[in-house]
Amino acid sequence: MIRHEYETIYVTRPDIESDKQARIDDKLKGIVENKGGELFMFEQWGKRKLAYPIRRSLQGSYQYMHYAAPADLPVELERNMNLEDSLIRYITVRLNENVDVDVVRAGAEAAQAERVQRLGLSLGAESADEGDQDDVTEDAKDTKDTKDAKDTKDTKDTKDTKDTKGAEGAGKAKKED
Amino acid sequence: MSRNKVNVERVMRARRRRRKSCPFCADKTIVIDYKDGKLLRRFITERGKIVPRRVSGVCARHQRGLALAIKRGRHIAFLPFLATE
Repeated sequence: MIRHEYETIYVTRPDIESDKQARIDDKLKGIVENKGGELFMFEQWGKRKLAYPIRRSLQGSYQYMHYAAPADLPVELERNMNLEDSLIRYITVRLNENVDVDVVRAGAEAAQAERVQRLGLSLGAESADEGDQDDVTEDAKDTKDTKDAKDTKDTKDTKDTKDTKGAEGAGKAKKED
Repeated sequence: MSRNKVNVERVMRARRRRRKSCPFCADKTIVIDYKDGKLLRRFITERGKIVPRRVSGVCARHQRGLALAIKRGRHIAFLPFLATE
């Protein structure tokens, strides 16, 4: 099966509850993983200021996915993104065509490190009011460490991490209120 | 007569202008990436327009990549379509 390397960024409204956010994240991650794709990285870039207001919102919550998938998967992904009312923007870019998934997976961490460094990402901890996002960065690091050891469990680890993060995020959000 | 003067000035200014070299050719490590708002902002005006390459000195090939990146960046609101002052 020919698979291509893609990245998708989607932006959700900043004011939605974290369980709703988690639901969207899980749904989209599930689509990638269950339809012949392989998710290398899922990153929470946190809340950022939008360069212009979108549906009255001045901020957006950015999520980034790096994956390999057959060409019809992004279509399905975008169809689902269109169904989400609180998802205000998305972009999918094909990074490389007909890739060897193992090779890309091997380089995914380095690519992430480079990306974080070059774009000055703080994987979520973008603004001061993002208490729950600090966990994301730490969790991501944990995932990385374990990854070296068990290569095949990569995506599963990431998924677990995200799940717990969603729960923690919910707890924190309540605290903030 | 006055028009003639303007022309002369323009020609002189043009002559004095140094040919800028493309920053992306000069430093091949720079990646033109639509996610990199900080980098792309250097190539849009305060109003948000893409700076023409005759001004920025970017070569044709890199200007194409740059224009695409800026347009993608605008779509996901990393960059403005237009900035109001």
